[in-house]
Amino acid sequence: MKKPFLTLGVVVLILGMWFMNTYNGLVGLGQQVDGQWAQVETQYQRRYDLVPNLVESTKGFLTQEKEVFADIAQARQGYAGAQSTGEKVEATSQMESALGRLLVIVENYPELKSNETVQDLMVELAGTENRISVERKRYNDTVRGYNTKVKTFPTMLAANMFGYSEKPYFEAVEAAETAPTVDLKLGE
Amino acid sequence: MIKKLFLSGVLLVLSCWLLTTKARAYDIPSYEGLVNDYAEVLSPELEEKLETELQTTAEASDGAEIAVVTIANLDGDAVENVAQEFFDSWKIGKKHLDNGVLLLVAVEDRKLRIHTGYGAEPVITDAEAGRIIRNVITPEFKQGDYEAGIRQGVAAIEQQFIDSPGFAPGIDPINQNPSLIESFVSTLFWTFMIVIWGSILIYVLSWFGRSKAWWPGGAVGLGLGILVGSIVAGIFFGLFGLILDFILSKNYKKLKKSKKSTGWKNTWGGFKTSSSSSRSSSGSGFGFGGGSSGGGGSSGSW
Repeated sequence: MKKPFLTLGVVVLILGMWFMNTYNGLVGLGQQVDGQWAQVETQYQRRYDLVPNLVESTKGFLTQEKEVFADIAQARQGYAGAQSTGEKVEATSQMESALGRLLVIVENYPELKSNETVQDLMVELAGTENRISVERKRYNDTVRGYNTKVKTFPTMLAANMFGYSEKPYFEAVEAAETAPTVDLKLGE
Repeated sequence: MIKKLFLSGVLLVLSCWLLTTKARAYDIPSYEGLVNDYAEVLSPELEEKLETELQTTAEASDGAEIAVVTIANLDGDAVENVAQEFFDSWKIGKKHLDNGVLLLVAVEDRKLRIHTGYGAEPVITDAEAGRIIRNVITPEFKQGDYEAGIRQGVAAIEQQFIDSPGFAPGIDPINQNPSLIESFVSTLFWTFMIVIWGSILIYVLSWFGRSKAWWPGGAVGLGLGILVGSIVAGIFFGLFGLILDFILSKNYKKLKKSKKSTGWKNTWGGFKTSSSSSRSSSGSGFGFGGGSSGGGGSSGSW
């Protein structure tokens, strides 16, 4: 008579352990996604801090190119005022297209290209862009791992129960990212 | 018999887990040392001299790991991506210090990059890396002297480290990639837990079910294994349950026939019949320390 209860008890214990393990795994992965997003934002901030220096050092040479500086200032303000992640992404793509244009403009001014300060700033900007793309790629990889867990059986059972849903990828800006790619060829 | 099957099952699960590795866009070869001249632009003498010099730096406590890689071409990829993949794949730099630096030269594409680990970023800022490329390396490369360019470039990178003693250790970003040891231990732990609890469950079921058919243990094991994790675990538990239930049922029948006691105590838990093994690994030669990079550095062309 004891048999069914014992069996039931063991099954419940195993199931309980599995749920605990799965839940903890989901919490950990969710934290990783958030942490990786913070890394992306750190690099955005770095770019944001770098831009005024770049603008100051090139403005004097580029007196006819007011439009691009206005765009940069606007995008910068937009990023500062952005509250949600969506707004930040929006301001970021504006910033990227404005910076892309500035890089093209600088290419056309030989006296700027030979200026050591401008060259350093351009290199810093290129480095920041690369860091951003590295962190974004890692963010997407982290999200992919998380989403796979949330969507595959049997983890999805626990994910649904505890309300863990898919997280968005960074695709929108990944596409915009290709726009401002400029080969500086500074060594030439 | 059971122990052997059990051990081989554990090894099977572990080896399947170890074999699952990520595919990459650019095919990253395994390294021979700190200097890897795949494009063969360095003389053996210089290669050896650089290797010895860089290994001495790397072997000092908290010493920077400066890697030099020449490749024929980038396979159509961007130099930044390829450098990042070398970095991620080899893990240049000491772990937690992330003080690795990679000098990558793609000869046919006429592109090069100084790629810095997280911890090396304050030592060699992007602007400084850019200046080394513009003022030190590319002037030599333009004249076709790769040896001089690389030698002076490495010297300039080393100078950056000498000029900033006790530089700020790397800010380990977030632990997005737990080390191999950590994930190995955690996998080992969970495999252990699953094996122990699964075995107990299957044993209990087999014990109480031994008067009936000999196969349900296998079915329960299979179901349990798939529920807990994977097909491999399912097959492992399935086999385990099958064999256990088979043996227990067989012994039960034998005991019944000879009218002996079928109690748990008298039958040694149903087996009536029972070693350990250990494994060790060894390594030799140079190995990178497990550093990571967030994409710092600078690129150039000549």
